[in-house]
Amino acid sequence: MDSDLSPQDKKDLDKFIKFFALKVKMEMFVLLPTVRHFCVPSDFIAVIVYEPLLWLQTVQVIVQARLGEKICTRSSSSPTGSDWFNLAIKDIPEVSHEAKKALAGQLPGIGRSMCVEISLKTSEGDSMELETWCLEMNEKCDKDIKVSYTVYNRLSVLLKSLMAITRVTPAYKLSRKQGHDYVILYRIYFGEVQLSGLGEGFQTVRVGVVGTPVGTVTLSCAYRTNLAFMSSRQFDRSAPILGIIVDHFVDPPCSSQRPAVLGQPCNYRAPDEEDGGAFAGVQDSQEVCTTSFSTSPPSQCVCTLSPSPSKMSKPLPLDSLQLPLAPGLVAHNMCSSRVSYQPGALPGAAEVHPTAANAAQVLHAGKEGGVGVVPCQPHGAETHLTGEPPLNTPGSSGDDEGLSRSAEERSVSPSDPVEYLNAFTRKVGAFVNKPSTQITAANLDLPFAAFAARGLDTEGSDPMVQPPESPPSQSPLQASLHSQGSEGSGPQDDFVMVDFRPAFSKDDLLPMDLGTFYREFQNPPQLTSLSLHISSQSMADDLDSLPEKLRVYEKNIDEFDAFVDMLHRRQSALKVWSGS
Amino acid sequence: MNCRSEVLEVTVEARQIDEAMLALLHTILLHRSTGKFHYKKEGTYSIGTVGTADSDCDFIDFTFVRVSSEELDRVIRKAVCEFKDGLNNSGSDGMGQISLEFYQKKKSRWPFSDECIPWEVWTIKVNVVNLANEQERQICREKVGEKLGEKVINVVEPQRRPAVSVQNHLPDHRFPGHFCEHHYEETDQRHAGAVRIRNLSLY
Repeated sequence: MDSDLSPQDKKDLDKFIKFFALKVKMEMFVLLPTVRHFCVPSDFIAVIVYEPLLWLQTVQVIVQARLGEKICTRSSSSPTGSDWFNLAIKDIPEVSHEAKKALAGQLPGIGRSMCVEISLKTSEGDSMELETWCLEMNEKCDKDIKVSYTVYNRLSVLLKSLMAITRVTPAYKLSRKQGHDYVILYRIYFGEVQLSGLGEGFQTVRVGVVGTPVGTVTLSCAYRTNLAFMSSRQFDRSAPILGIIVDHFVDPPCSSQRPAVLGQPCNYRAPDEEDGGAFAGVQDSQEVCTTSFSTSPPSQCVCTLSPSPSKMSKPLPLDSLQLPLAPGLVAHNMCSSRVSYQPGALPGAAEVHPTAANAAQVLHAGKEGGVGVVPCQPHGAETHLTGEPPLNTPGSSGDDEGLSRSAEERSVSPSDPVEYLNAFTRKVGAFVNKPSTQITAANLDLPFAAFAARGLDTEGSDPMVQPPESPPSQSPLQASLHSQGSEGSGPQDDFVMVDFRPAFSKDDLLPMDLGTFYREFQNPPQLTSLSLHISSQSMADDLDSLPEKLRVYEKNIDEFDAFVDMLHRRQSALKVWSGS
Repeated sequence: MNCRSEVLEVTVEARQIDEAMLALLHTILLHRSTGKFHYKKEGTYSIGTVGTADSDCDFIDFTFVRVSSEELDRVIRKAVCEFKDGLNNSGSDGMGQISLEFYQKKKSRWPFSDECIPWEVWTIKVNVVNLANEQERQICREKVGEKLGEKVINVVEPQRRPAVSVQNHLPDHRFPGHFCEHHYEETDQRHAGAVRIRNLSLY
């Protein structure tokens, strides 16, 4: 090979080899600008140089396409140090780090495919694989091709095709809508591509094929077509009590029951300009976590990281997940303007995400931004309603009063999270069957106390336990609710009458609650227009007006014909879409 | 003539014409755009960087990637707008086609004029339908988005085959305009004649 090279080429080749050996030891992916001047280096060396760059850029393009944001990069007439393949592709350090870690110091090659798996994970802990991108190389060589320009240009076209195709697959639309309900994760692995998680009927699309002197590079994608989501929960559900499914208060299965590797989230936030644009490699995890509860189960709580609880950071979808971290994975704490990087130590990483499952205490944020603590009872499938942590929805008017009352009762300022942790008032949920020996209304912080009937401090008058007698009703449904006709039945038996008191009902508009309103207006009087006397009169009028209507229709017959033609045309157009 | 020809056919509503055409034309041009060539001493050269930008469609459930060049975007929009106006005014039954042609300009000696040799032509046939109610428009929005996705895949597939001009003509000082070079930094670096958009018959 050396005899075919000119002295200039030999010099460049020596330069290349020395440089490449040095860089393989250190970083492997940073090259001198002279490379891009196309000094006709050895084709073999050039392909070895381009290949890992292609892997890296491919991963960057795929992950950035799933961030959920529109990507925009600027064109430049002068190439910069990081613009490989003549494309302005942003370099996210986290993604590069993950890709390099997956490479594990080895060069990808024939028989060693690089795969990027994109999956969806809901806030309830369910996950689903969406697509798998596979970059592989086979042994079919194109020895006549010139690497210096042609292969480089084709690799550039390949990346452009990748950009276009990543916006076409169904996962793109899902990634644009990711948020509190679900997030998109990615996982990089080498070896044989795994498509079993894509479900039946998955589609494949070939992005591009580029021949090189050392092998043919193929980039393809397999994506799921059946996006019907099936819950993968495997824990038992207990029988519903009072119409409420108990597993609402049960945490998702522990990490051992989940897939070993979940992947990294695709919702990177670039650091602000004030931070110097530098990626903060390791951030301290000392920041206080503020959590806002909803009436949903603890697994759906949103956790935000902020320097102090008084600053209500925008909750980010990642933080709503309980990510069980497998060995070797990295935990990422996403803030609104900062990315933190945690090494893959499991116990430490797991603590970064205080969840209802793992933490003994869960922070609770009030409307004012204060922080409270609600201790979680140990969860399990057999958990009953008593003693469950209350789940309030900030923002509802009912909660405001409940939260303000609870704030008043507490002597600690909400702005101080640590002290707030220590001073805790136990909250009880709206539908809790309160044992009389433990809790009374006097010392309870009832979330919906504003709507509780006055003077119901004793259990005997508690409508949740002793429902008031309902007025007599003719409806059979009402009779069954009472269950008074059954033998030996009473409120204390297996069937408990619950007075329907919806959580957010108000007494302001009507002097009665919704249940009473329903009972009273269940049998409304019949409409007069439906009575026989009036219907017979209208029919006679219709018959009289019929000839006049017919005259009008005959006059406008052309319009009706045109309308029918339009319907026919539209129908054929719809057939084209559905058929093609 | 060794001219590669590709035909794409789409059925859209009237208000979707612009975005459907832009999506396909920009996708094609993205694959056919390179950075600016900077020639240095000792026979070396470097190539500039092409930026990309995502564009969301308003009337179609679709997002496409285009070259990050406002100048190029203006040129394409102008051509699409002219096509749309011609389609509306022609009185044809909502059918027409637009072509994007890549050609090579061969300089000839006097008195002959320069010769334009097309090496790739992309033809997009448009079929316009009228819809009455909002439900049909919503269905149309999603369906056209899916169809455009398939068309983008159809655009990408021929890229596996090398462009004729790339294979036969490595960067040559005489033919710097193999590709459309509209994209860098708003300066007039365009090589006129490399790309032509033609409104063919409106039938």
